[in-house]
Amino acid sequence: MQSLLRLLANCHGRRQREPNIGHPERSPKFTVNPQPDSSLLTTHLTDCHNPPSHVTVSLPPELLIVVASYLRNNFVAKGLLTFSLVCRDWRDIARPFIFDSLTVKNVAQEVELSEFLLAHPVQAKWVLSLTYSGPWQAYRTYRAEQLDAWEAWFGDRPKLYGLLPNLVALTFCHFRTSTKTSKASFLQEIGRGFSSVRKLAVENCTGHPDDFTAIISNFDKLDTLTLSRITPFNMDRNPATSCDLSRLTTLNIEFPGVGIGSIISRFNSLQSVRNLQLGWEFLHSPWNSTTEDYLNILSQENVRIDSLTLCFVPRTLAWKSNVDVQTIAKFSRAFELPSFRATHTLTFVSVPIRAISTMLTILAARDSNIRRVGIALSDKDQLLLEADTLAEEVPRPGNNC
Amino acid sequence: MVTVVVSDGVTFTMEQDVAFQCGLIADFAGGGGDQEEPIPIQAVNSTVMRKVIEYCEHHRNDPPQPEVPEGTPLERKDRRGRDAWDKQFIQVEQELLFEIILAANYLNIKPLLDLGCSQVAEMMKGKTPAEIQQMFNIVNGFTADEEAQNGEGEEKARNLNS
Repeated sequence: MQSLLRLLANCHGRRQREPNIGHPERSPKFTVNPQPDSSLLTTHLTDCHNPPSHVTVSLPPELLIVVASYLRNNFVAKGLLTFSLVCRDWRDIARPFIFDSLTVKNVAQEVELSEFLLAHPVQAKWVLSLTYSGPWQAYRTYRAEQLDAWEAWFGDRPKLYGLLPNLVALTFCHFRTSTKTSKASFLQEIGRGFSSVRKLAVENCTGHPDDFTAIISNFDKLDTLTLSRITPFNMDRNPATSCDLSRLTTLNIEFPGVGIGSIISRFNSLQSVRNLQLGWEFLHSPWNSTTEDYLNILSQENVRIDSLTLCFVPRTLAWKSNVDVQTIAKFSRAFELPSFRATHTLTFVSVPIRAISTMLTILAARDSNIRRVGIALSDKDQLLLEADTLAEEVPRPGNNC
Repeated sequence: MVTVVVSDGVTFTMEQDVAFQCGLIADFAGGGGDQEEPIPIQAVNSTVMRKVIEYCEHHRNDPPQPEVPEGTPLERKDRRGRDAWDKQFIQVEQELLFEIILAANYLNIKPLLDLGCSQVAEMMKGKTPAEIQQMFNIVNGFTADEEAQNGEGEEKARNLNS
């Protein structure tokens, strides 16, 4: 075996590596197929590279893909665009990154994009993630022409229907689910048109809770759902309608906003969810009962969570007060529920050290199966302020925790 | 201790935790004890190997990167970034930089590969296509028609995302 390995090591052919496109700075909504399909690179990588005069080493295509993946984060500043204009080979390397994630912000853009993709079906294959970004913003007054543009979203079926064969992820942000003249037509129509999508995010939207469940229900292959800052029209937590999410494996509630409970109380069949992220914002509102809402859905039968992430919105007014500690203490009741019996990974994001300490102390006293605890602080100031007390306050890991 | 011999015949001996940051060497040693015979690394020369060992020695105590569940937002995925030492370390001549990247790829040292590739990307930022062609000694290769249409679709996509 040793000699065989030696033989392999002496072969000068380079090992193919999987390129890393997961760049730390830019934040696409989803991690999607990281490796561009090499079959889509239409030209051979031979004609661009001259035998170099002063540079005797060049990078092979698989490493240029990694370089391009870093430039995608500089996209707005034309980094990847410039890369694509260097030569034909580099253009073919860059294109999948350029087209993999697109955002349309109005109907005109959607028409323009659909015409382009109709004429360029190869580029259409590279689109993996699409974001519809609407004009709705909370507490904003709209002028008449803006309202016309707003209504236009709901006037016709989406133009990108059937043009994106490899689309994996879809995001709606800044939408109301209905207007005065039409009710949920556009968003529901999209659900029908892109029903093969596996990842859906709904962010900064408002509407009736039943509209949201109707929209989500249209995606029958959904495995990842992200809800963030949704403001429902009513706070009814005893719904007549429900939403079957039996295929869902990952549920992320990053920023619950106000009244997320009225939506998640409509979710049932969560038995496939294994990864759960729950977020807290400390908003002063009579409807803000995030912890109770979470406990209610986790009390459903057959729910079994493997990995739980608790996420506090940093820099809120509450992090220095006792509110966070009380919230965590209240939520720690969840670990008595059957749904958390098998949980093995617990991650805290932006949670104050004091609250983590409280939670771990409670867990250590229980028969918990947690084997991994992760702590990520997105707020560096918070880390510096609290780091001195970390060693004293966080209990040492025991057998289970 | 692990001993390797590189393409120009120079032998390097390093401690196991340093050597095992190279996936290729770890595969060779099979996770076992000391290697009696030097491991031949024919695709890397001594200048580059010195840099690679310098990097591995500096990062010998780094914790392993945790696995990130699918669906995690990318900004939460990798917070390590490049520290000041890494930035200083990778400030090398372009040719040596490429050789380090090739060596990192061959030896299977992912953090070093990422560091090198991100440095190449840094070098390209703010430059025009012509400047990059000159820098990398690349011939354009576009036909006149392609030249005329170049960047049309890409510019459209960029506008959509800006």
